Amino acid sequence: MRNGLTLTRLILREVQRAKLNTALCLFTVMAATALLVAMVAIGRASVDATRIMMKQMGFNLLITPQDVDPARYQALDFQKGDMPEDYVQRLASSTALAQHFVGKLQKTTQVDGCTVVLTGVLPEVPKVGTQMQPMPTAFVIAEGEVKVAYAAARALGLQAGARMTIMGKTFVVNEILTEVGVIPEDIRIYAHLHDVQALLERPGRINAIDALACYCPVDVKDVVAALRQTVEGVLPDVNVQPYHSILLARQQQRVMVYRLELAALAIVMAGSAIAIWGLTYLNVRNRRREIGVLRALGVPDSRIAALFIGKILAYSLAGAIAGSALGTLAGNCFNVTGGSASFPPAVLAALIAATPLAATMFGLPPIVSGLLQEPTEVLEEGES
Amino acid sequence: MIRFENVSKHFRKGTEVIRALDAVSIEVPQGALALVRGPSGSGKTTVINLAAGLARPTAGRITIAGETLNDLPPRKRTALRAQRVALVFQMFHLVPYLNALENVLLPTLASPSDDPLDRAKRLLEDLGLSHRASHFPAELSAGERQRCAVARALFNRPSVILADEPTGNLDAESAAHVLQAFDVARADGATVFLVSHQHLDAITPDKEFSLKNGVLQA
Repeated sequence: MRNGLTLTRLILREVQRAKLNTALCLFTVMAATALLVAMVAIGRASVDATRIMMKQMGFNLLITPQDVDPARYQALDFQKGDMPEDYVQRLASSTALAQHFVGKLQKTTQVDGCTVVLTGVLPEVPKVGTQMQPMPTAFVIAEGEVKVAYAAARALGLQAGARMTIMGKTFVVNEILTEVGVIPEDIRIYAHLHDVQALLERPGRINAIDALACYCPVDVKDVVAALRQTVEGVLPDVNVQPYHSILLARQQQRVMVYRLELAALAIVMAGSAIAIWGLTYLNVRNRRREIGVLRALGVPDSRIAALFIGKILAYSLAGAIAGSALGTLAGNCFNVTGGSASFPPAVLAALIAATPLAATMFGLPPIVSGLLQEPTEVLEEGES
Repeated sequence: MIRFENVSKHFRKGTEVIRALDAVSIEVPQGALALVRGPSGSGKTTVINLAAGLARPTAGRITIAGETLNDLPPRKRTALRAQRVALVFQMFHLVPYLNALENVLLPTLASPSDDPLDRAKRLLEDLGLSHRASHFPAELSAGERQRCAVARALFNRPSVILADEPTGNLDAESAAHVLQAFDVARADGATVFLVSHQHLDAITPDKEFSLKNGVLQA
């Protein structure tokens, strides 16, 4: 105070005096921020949980050579058409909207009188530059070994560790897979891609790529068309066949959460705007004589406005920090989705920085209105 | 110096025109103490508001502290009040959440001052309020509040002091204290312009005017 009164001192003094108004303002911002952070965190957790569930459901995109008839493919006729093995790597290095890739060479064949689908696979190739957990349905198989699907193993009477001969070559049964409940998955015999290529005399060739499209922007209207476009942009001579139900369910859930976040943002912003407007209006109204006195003393309007804006900035910054912490805690406490309820730190920092600006915007109309009042009218009011 | 030349202030209330001031001409030389007397509703507060530049006249010309208010934009009128013109109100208008010392320091928000703390303390001491420096307005008597308001008005060493019924809410003893402070300010070269509905025995004005229904009486 040695150099006179400062705006900061005046703001602090007013905050000390108007405890209820300040507490309500702080609570409003804190509650709004906490609500927003918690809702977004839980929304993201649900997206994450869906991602895990969908991943367990398997690949949602089948990429075949262009001349393959989808109907024959569904009938397990894999005779026609193949493509280079390095297509997998090309897709993984591209900007296509898919993430996990497994190249396959498959053929329906007879083993000891049973129909099986011999499937040669390489370990899953993740999108280049990412470090993703491989799909639970993707296998790593050593050369000379096989994994036998449930129905095929039962029909052939196989156990893990047994030996079996396929097209004249002997393999060790590494694992009997659990029942999936669908054909052809339950009649597959998985072997290393290079073993199958050798058996079928098609070295360096594959006839299908399984892929998982797990990232598609929410503003894409037709996700199937978008996926086809990006994949065919990299590999023009392929067919992209989506498993619609899996693919669309995931995309719809992502869009729904995005819309839910927008709705939450709109509701929270509208509620906060009304509350801050009202509380600032009351604060300005209660202090209109003070405004009149300051103007009579020759304090410029900009400095008077700074008194109110300074208060808004102070409580909204404190409210945003406290609300973010509270919202993160609440998001984790009330996360019923099973996914990870995290809020990106950069977005949280942006939210904390943007909150005081938004609060100032909401509080500005009553401040301006207070400054526009005639000082001569309020100065004729009662004693202080 | 304060000069009103044929100053009128009219308000419109619905279809009715209220003539708060009508062709008033006043001249108070620098360093003089002037008193404008008149009953309630005679236009005294309007004179103060116009002289302070808080309101604009409907007609006429106002010159205060060497500046013609008619020509000044709002920003310059605000600066004039911050540096050269001070106001004292009947209702004191202290800021309720600031103590007496802080209220006296309030003008530093408008314009910086040398050694403000020493100046504020000295003013409170001169006005017999040094023991009340840390008290809030609600803890002060009416007389003490008005003396605090006078200390605030004197803080920037104004060349013009405008006081609207400064003793209207005070007992005789408190009123004498306040008027004595104005007398000291006049002795220091300030022009003091008081409006009051009553005769002020404690001072001898250099000039006295009478207002009735917005018209200056002969």
